[in-house]
Amino acid sequence: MGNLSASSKKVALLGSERKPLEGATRGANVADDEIIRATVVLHRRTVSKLPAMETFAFSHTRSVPYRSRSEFGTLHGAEPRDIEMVLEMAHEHGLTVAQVNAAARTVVLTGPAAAMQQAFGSTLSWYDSPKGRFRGRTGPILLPEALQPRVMAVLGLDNRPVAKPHVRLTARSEPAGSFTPPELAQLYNFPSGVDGSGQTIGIIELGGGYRTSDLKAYFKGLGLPVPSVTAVSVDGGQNSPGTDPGNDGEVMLDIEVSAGVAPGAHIVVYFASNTDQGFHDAISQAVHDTVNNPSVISISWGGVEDQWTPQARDAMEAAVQDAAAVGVTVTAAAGDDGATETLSGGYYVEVPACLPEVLGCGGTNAVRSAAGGLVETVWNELAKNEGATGGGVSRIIPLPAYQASANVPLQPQTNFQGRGVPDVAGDADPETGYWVRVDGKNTVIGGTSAVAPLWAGLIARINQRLGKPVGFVNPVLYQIGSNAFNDITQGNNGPGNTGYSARAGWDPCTGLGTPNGAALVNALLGVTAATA
Amino acid sequence: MDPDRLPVAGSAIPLRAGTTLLGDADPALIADATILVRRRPGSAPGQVPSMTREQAREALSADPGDMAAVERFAKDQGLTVLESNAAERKVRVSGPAGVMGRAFGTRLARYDGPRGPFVSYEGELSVPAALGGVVDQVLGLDRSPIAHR
Repeated sequence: MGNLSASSKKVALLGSERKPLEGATRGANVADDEIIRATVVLHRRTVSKLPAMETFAFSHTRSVPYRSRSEFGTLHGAEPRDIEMVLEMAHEHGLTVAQVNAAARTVVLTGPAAAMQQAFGSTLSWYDSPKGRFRGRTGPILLPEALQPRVMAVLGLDNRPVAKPHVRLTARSEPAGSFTPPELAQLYNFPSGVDGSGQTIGIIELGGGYRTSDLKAYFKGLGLPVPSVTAVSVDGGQNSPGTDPGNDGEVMLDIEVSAGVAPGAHIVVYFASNTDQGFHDAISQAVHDTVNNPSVISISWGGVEDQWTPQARDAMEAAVQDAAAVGVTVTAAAGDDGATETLSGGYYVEVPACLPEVLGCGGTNAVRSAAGGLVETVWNELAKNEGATGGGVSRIIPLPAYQASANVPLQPQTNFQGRGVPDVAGDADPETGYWVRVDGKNTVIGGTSAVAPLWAGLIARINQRLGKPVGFVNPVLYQIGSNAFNDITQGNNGPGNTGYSARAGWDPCTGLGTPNGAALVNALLGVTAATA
Repeated sequence: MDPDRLPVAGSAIPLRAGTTLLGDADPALIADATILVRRRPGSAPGQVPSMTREQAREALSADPGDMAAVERFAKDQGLTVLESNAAERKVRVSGPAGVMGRAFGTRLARYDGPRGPFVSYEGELSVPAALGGVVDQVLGLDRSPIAHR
């Protein structure tokens, strides 16, 4: 195998030369502790030669010798010895192995920029260009001499835009790095033996619509029963698929994630128009819906806190207080534009995520670990113009009692002792997003929009397990603290090193963290017993 | 403001970057509004934890007398009452833009903004002094798209 110590000779990876992007101006070097994710792509093993592609062409007249996935992986995947060399190199440079896929010939590594740059012989800097801000390198990748001939590419150090992304959508033909909702339920250790049966999840939508044919295809594809979904009109709003694909994506994401993690729940979708009247009336109607009786309401829409009339904000606050009073949990997305949610700069949070009775949901980047769990950092793809988790401190809503021990900082521009956002988090990065079906096509979608229904589905399963609804759950979650969460301690939600940063305990990017569902249930059962 | 009217607290529109006033709303445009009535006097959400679910809904709801007063006001102003729901404290009304504006002491106008044109109003909304304590909020005259997904 050879010695791959940090001092062994390094040679250039052929074809990895990066030229400066036209029109880009170089800014600061990337900070030493910025967490970077890189994918090492290996050549196919040489023991079997891949046949000419014509062999696999579709034919009516002959039988095509397709390989099964596992057969293909064995014959044409990575050489095990080559994977070992990459792992050894990673270990030598202090990089974390996030994922190994021998069939796909990929090894995903994460680590601080300083270690990444030393491992691959690159200097990384920030660049500004007409296409936005990105992290770039110039020159070739350097690899240990013994490893170099076995590597096809090292991707991800340089993240200059190569294609125009759909907002928050990343269309892929193979969802490498994405998750189905049931996979996330398993990875977040959702409580077993319950699926949300007997619970109703209310979903607020201010546009778009769903198609039953898409839901059938999606849930059958997951091997799940097709959920019962009911559309409710608020102030004349209607289920309207086809008028706005982005809004349809939102509606489908919300249904597919909530029912994907709580397949036994009844889903009721409340359609209203995108005005403060529509938004308020939808929440209020759902809270007071004694026919459908949702025990949890999921909201993936939000408006920046300073854009509301005070009266509209008060009305929204009264509606979620009603929810708390009648035992209904309200989850809401924290936002997708990082700490800065307005065009004018400065840090703002969003309504309704910042209302005290609402469970604010922030976002992470989630990568499978070699051990079968998740490695998570704060969702921040601002450099690629693909968003970052909302989060911060309200300028208007004061700090609630249940956050008194959470070390919420003062709002930076106003020094106001405001409500901290979010309370909890889940996977949200479009690069590690949710495999869903929208308007007849499968695709990968991210955003804190996915985290509100993820938590709504978890609450539905918890309610079933407890035999009663948890309702306004924020105070008890802060009491329970980190035992029931995966605390996210790395990353930030502004451009470069700005915005708020993750840290041990509650932080204004990921709140208390992502869920350990079974631990949360046990803690709630303990609390329930204590107050019985 | 007319001394016989009281402002709807917090109804003034905040400064919205990139928004320009285009002109009066078409008088024939049908406007839609939700009038939110106060909770029945003597109740507060804080008392609710000790109540049953049904008692809580009752405590959160509006007094039938207050609901009736708001409905009467709306009809007197020439508005149509579309919905009346005491549990939600909601009286939803519609009517031509000119009628709706006069009912709430304002004029509806057309604006253009970063997300397209919309109808809204200048200044504060108001209601007759007799309704001053009964009406908490009036939503829907401002049609700007408040939320994004």
